[in-house]
Amino acid sequence: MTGLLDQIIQAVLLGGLYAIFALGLAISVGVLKFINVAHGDLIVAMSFLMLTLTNSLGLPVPVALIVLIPVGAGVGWLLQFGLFQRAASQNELQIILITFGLSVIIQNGLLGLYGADTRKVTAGGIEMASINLFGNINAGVLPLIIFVTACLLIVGLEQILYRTGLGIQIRAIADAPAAAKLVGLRLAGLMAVAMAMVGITEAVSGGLMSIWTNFDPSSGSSRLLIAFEVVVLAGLGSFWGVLVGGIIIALAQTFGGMIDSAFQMLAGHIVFLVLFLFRPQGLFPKT
Amino acid sequence: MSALLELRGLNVFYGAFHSVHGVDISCREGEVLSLIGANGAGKSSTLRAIIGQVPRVTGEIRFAGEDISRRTTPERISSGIALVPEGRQLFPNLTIEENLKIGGYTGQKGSIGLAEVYEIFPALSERRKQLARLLSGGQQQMVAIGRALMMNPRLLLCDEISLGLSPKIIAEIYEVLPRIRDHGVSMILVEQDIARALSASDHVACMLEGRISLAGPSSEVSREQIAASYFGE
Ligand SMILES: Nc1ncnc2c1ncn2[C@@H]1O[C@H](COP(=O)(O)OP(=O)(O)OP(=O)(O)O)[C@@H](O)[C@H]1O
Ligand SMILES: [Mg+2]
Repeated sequence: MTGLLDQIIQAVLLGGLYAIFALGLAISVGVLKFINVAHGDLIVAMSFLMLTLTNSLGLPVPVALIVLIPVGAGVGWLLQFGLFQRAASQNELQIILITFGLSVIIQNGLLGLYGADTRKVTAGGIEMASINLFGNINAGVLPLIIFVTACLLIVGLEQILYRTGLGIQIRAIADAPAAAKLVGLRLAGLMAVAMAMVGITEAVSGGLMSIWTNFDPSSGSSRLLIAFEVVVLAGLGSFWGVLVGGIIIALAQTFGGMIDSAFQMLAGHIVFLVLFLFRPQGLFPKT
Repeated sequence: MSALLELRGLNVFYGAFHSVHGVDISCREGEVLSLIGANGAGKSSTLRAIIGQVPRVTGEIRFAGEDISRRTTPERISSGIALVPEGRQLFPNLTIEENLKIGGYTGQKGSIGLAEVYEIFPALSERRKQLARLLSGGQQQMVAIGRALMMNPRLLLCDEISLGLSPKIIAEIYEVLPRIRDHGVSMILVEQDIARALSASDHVACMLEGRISLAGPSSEVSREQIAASYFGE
């Protein structure tokens, strides 16, 4: 019994990581109106950067994580301003093709720079540490940190988007781009800011993922798939919905893994498909 | 007194389609100009050209003494022009207050803020947190006007603010125009209701198939002149 509860708690915490993967995609689909196929690869690129910062430059893990954040924001801003913005003015298919190309470029770039080996960042034992929650239920410190980070990111994004002038302008563009032009909103700049926010979630995802699990240059596609499933499952109504979506996928994987370890990933996809069939608008759609 | 806005030989094109042909219009500081004309005459195209939202224009657009025809829409708005667009063009999933604030972000600073808009339109003040899409047509029109006022314009362009509204609501909205004028705002009113357009304005210009067919002081043009220039002879 304790074993089961333990597993559920682990799954919920893992859901936090999945939610962080998905938050950036939710913003790009909800606000910028396109699917960034390179989202997973950008996350993995951040994991590799984390590796360089900690292993090669010797920065402590928390410092490296903080360094990643402005880098992620800058990369997002530049990609939107320099690349996606131009493509968006052409047509919607073209921008997806461009992100697809970007994905290939990032994967090959990482392969050239770091080789095909599987990597992991070591964080001085924090990966192994656990604390007692209640009774004899323990939780890993790292999963807890990741879950709390997911919650903080969600609170931060909601505060920015609902409580600041910048956020209101970004939501206005998402709501009615034609009207936004007529009232003089600076679309290109605001969308670049939104993409910088996506970049921050990619930096946090990549940084935390590099400590949690192994990664290699081709890991991006599985991250993208999880992010995609979580966003579709959640709908575009709320960021907390994204957390719930992440937890559902993680729980499905956990229960699938209990039946048969080979069944773990597949179970997540099956639960996604079944829920999608019954609720294509997502669990928390825009009202 | 010199013109606040002056269009000289304005042409508007949508691809190969030539929509507005060599239009000259001027609007003085503090003046209300009504722009009338049948469907498709080019009234909205003219207003959108002034704000910088048509694919291609030629000719001169002078505002406060400067040629603004090369400027972007945000630049024109921050220099003091605001549009209440045809069909209102609100942000449906933003609240009334958020819709109004958008105008405050893109316009210039000035004497009109949320408090002033709520004072002009008390009906909005009671519903600040309501989503724009849940409002009645009249309330939505008030938000559209309020959002433009939040830009603190020197020139307000209103495109068919009475469209689809009941006579009672139209009267209510037209009652606030003099108060807006009191803030020193000049206006160009595009209006289908000719009687209302004439009574609310100092000057009138009529468009027919992309050209100005009549222009003069609102109190001096006759019904016959208007009928002739509205439909062509
Ligand atoms: N986006 C567009 N693309 C192509 N043609 C357009 C476009 N907008 C307007 N037109 C054309 O330009 C001409 C003038 O249209 P406009 O909307 O300016 O007229 P209007 O006087 O505002 O008419 P209404 O009273 O119906 O609003 C019309 O023939 C219209 O079909
Ligand atoms: Mg029109």
